[in-house]
Amino acid sequence: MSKRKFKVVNQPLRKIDSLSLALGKPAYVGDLKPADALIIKMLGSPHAHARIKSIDVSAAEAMPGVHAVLYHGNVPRIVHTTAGQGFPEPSPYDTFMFDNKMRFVGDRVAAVAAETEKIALAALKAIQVEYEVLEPVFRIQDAMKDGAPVIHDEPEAKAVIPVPYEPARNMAAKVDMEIGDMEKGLAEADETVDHPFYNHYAQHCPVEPHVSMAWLDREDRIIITTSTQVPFHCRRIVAQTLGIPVQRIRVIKPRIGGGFGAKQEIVLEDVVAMMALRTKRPVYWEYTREEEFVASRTRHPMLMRLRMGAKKDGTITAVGLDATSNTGWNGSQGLTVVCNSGSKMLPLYRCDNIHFLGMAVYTNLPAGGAYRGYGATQAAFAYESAMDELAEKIGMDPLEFRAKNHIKSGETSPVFRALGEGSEGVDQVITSCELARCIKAGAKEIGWRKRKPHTAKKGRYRRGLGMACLMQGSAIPEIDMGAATLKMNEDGSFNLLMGATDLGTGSDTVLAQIAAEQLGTTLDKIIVYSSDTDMTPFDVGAYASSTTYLSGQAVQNVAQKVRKQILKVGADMMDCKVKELTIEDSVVVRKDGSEQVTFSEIALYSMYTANQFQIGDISSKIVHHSPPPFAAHFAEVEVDTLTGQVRVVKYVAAADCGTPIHPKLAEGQVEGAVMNGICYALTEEYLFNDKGRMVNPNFGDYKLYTLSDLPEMKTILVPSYEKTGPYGAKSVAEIGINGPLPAIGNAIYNACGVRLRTGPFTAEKIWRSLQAGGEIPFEEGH
Amino acid sequence: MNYVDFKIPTSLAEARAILTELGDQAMPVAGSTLHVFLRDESPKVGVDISRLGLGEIADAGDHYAIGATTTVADLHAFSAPGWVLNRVAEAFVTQPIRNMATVGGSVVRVFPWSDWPIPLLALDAEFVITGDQERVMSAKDFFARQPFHHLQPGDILTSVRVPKMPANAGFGYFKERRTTTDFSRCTVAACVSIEEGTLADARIAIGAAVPMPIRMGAVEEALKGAKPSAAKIETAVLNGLEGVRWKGLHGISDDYARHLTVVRMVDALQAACDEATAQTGEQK
Ligand SMILES: Cc1cc2nc3c(=O)[nH]c(=O)nc-3n(C[C@H](O)[C@H](O)[C@H](O)COP(=O)(O)OP(=O)(O)OC[C@H]3O[C@@H](n4cnc5c(N)ncnc54)[C@H](O)[C@@H]3O)c2cc1C
Repeated sequence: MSKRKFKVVNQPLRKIDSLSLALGKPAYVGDLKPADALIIKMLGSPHAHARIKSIDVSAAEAMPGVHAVLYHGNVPRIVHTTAGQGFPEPSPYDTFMFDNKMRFVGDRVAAVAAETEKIALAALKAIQVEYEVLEPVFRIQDAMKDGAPVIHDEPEAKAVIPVPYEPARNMAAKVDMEIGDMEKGLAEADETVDHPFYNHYAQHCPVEPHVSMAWLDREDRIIITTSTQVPFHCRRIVAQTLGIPVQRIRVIKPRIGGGFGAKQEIVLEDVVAMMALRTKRPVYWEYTREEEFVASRTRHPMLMRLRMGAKKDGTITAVGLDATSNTGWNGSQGLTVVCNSGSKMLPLYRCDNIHFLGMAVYTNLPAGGAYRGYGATQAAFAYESAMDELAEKIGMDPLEFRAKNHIKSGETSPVFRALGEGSEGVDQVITSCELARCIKAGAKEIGWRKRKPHTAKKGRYRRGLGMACLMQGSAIPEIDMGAATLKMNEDGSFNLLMGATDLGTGSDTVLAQIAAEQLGTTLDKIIVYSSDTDMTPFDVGAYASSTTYLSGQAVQNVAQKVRKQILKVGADMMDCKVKELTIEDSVVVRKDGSEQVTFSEIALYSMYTANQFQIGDISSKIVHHSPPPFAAHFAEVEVDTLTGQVRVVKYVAAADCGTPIHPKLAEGQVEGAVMNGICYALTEEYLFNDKGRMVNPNFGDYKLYTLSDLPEMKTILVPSYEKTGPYGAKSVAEIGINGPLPAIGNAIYNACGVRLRTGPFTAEKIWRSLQAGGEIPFEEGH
Repeated sequence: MNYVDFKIPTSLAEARAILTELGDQAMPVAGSTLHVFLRDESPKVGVDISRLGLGEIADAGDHYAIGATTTVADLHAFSAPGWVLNRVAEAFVTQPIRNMATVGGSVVRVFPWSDWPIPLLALDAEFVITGDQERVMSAKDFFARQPFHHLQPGDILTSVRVPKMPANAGFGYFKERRTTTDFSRCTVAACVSIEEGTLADARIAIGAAVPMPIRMGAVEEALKGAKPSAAKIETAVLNGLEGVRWKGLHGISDDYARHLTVVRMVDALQAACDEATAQTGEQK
């Protein structure tokens, strides 16, 4: 419940950049490209696993219009991670700007910068490469076998924090945690389930692919303008990769056309920076859609085993989750994603005996990275499918089973402390949880009461209802830091300078709302600038559902400080005490109504009249909690039992994100994430040939829903008030994607008795399962 | 595509003259949407054929004569007795592509997933080609191989004649796709007419699950003269599959492509029979 009435916060105000974007004003990296920019193109490896025996770039270098060719022979060999994470990174150092070993189809062989794209492409063709082809490995189970080809056999590969890392066995990460005794818990159960699950590959598919440009300023500093979620990590990692000081680099993030985690990686920026140094010309590199699929990052596919036990009365006695991710050719975010599979789902239901084993395994396929949901998506599929199966076994309605067991306000889970981001986690008590109301509201909207078992259904077309409960986090406690600078101008407007990175989510608007609310002014008085490493203070960037909760607190803090300064100047001007004053609509007024000064008068006074100083401040915030948002999702599907086709008839998402600072944007996040999740559940699929080449890297063949495919969708915001968050806010951006896979899977089962354990839920899989009487043999997919 | 020049003739004769003169170096351009899929990088002169007065649908008595550059959007919007192609247009990708793609461009080069050949086969359409002389080809002949092989430089497909569906006829059409913008994995069109409770005529064509669109002659033969029952339709379909080469597109197996098409053939015939029965019912 909201604790108070707000004026700016909790209002669906106009998104501050909406008009300029709607008018198509130059805003994105591609709009800002200098006319004389050289175009970069990359030669990709044709082999999934190979060593370059020889490479001759001389013909390419000699071509008119070619300005530079980079390859492993002419750049520094500095091992690093591409993961944009806090320092020292929990991801292994296993990547070089260029290497003589190729680890996936599309791996960097050589880059060309040329006057035109045409020349650059022609130059790529002129590069002569001789490969020693090595045996590739594509599946998790094969990569873990003794004697499997070793993908990272270079001596430099290492972990930089004390965590298990065994590249000689293709093991990029491992975490093992037990609370209580899982085996004992299973033995105490009346009923148990034990099943494998497989989450498939998927790409973020931002409308704007990865795109970066760079040039040297007159002091020879490298100015990188890039579509990134992590400008500050980008600056640090580029400096490291090039072996130059951070001081020489400025990273500017303009408007971003979507990221969803893909842009929490340094994918292009090292090469554009190097090219700018080599050519002394502006350079520009934009991924094609094919490169976006293959060479940027993906959702980590995961192989899971879920064991669970419960008593007849619905008490959960044991949960065991083994999650092994296919981290692909590099280990970017491998450890933390798999940790999140445990830490973001296992606290959801009370249980004394929990075992979690997480691993990340190298293969010669595209690399996993951060992707909305970040491991929780994968775990939610296994856990929430198993919850349904167990409920059926003990003869309980799956909704009641969840309602009985889910964590509530005032409770804690030992998992919070046991599992963090590669290290121990942080204890926390849940201080806001409206999951019970989410379940109730969602169940009513979907008509849960009319749900019947699949055995009671007849006919060709059968409808079914399924649900899933979800939680996520809000920022990474004791690790993530955000900061904001706020200064006042003479007309009573404010510059809000933030490292927080709006990637299309609307966070600039949300953070400006928080500033305006705290200052006592209106949204239009806040001029937002985010993010620029020369101009704005540090922020880890947009990931881990952190911006509203973390950067929002930094903004609230700085606005509080500036508010105090304003009141102090107001008191000087009116010759009274600060406590006699309050702020109403950009005016400092005496509480007795006798006198007032406007914000503009205050700013002018402090700049030009007496006790002159710049009204303004900077604040940092590190969070100690990561309060989970909660959600209950419900799907109604119709299965054509002759063809196996499934149609989502209606989808209901009820979400507790604390106070929605901007209710429309919060709803948009839920709806976008749900659509994202429905596509993941039903249509998105990487198809590889037997050589490891993706054969459908385009939107013609890799299918996403468009608005015309939208099922009936209902979003219900069920606000709680999170007292540690800014104005009661938690987070909302990721959680929604975790629901569709289990909710639709459970609904398919309820419709026709088919249990699917690998995504996507294609018509053919459902048809084959129907033929097989409900389930097909489990197989690790791609 | 690699266009080195673009010509905009305003009469059929002028267009034909340019195309004949330039031969292989020229290519007619109607809606130009196919260019997304063409890998041809040889230099070409584009010859716009969208201003030759071939963009109308005319009532020609027993059939509709569709000008070859009529857009799919116009086929969608058109409504007249015995006209069913609006239903095919409805399932054709998205409005922006419907606005540009033409009927001619959609049949001259056929992809495994192309929509239009299937209903045009089932409807017994005819194709009018204007070359040195005008010639007319049946749908079966036209789609017996890649249709552009029928065209010599300078030949232009000028019109597609689609017989009107008689009052006692029904049409069934199914296109299987994962999303509205997806390519078809199985397209089926069926057209039947019912006289005194029996099937006077039954025509059915399939595509996408087979390398080139085809008519299912054996199914048609088995149905002609029969009473349109669900059992009869199913038997006719299951017994009429011999010799068909199945090909699963976009990650589906050949097996499933076959299964899906069989189900949809039954569905399409049933829908067509239901419609025909309803029509004849209304007449009485
Ligand atoms: C993203 C996308 C998705 C699509 N999905 C589908 C789909 O699912 N199903 C489907 O059926 N179609 C689909 N299409 C459309 C289809 O592939 C063709 O692009 C379209 O039908 C071609 O029509 P057009 O008028 O644009 O032809 P053009 O591109 O102008 O021409 C196509 C070819 O035919 C020749 N040609 C055109 N008209 C004549 C004529 N009158 N006489 C002689 N030669 C001629 C041209 O020289 C060229 O070789 C899709 C198109 C796009 C862009």
